[in-house]
Amino acid sequence: MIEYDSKCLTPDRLCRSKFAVITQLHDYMTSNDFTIDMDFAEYFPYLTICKPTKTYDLAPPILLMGNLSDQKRLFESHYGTAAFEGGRTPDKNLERLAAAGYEDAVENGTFCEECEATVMFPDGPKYVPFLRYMVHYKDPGGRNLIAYAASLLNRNWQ
Amino acid sequence: MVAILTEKQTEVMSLKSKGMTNKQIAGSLNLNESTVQEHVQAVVRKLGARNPTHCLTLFAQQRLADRLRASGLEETLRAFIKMQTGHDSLSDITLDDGLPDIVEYIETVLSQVAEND
Repeated sequence: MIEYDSKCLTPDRLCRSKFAVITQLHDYMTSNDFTIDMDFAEYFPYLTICKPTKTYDLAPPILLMGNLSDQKRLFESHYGTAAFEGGRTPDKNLERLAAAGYEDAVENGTFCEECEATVMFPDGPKYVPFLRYMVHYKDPGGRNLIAYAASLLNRNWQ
Repeated sequence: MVAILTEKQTEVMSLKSKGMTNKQIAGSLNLNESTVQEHVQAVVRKLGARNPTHCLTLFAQQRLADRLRASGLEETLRAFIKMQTGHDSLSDITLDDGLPDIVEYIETVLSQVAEND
């Protein structure tokens, strides 16, 4: 069983029709010098938002979750429950294995990879292949944040 | 225009936003029920509200705007609020859109943001 395996990708080279949200978000962020304006609202439903942390032993907790995000789809039944307390997903090990990507995004502006992971849910493990894109941006209010977009590669993962 | 409410007026309105009656608020804040009513009427006048329900809406809108301005992530939160309500402008969000719940949720998010600073 694969615990976590990943391959780094270049966002500019992603298939634009297959990963429309990610490629359009990447274009938007890079052309806006990694800050946002009111057009960000178009992307928001597909994203989760977190705040950079001092260390990356674990992925940063999720602050806000888009209604149409694949992360919400993945964790839907656990979102808003104790398993999601403090913006944490039900799988702490996955958060540990995925943490380096956040640090990379903070250092380099963006991070993109194709992953395969076995995600531990309260009702058992599930194999989940996905592509994730992270972008470190500055809200005009002054705070630095990370926008995360994931695309589940096996739509029938359940 | 931002109306400046006193600390007590803000306390009264916060409890009213949670659905408490004047009698319950009076008990909670150790006030007479008539004093609570006076605070509510003063807030209605200050906010230029048409009635107590409109007053609750304006109070929550103002509170939300204050929180957003001070958050450092106003544009991100506006995008979240637009997703939840469909409205671009805070002044268009009503109690029917779940305004008090949105205020409460934003406050939770902001406390989480502050926790890790």
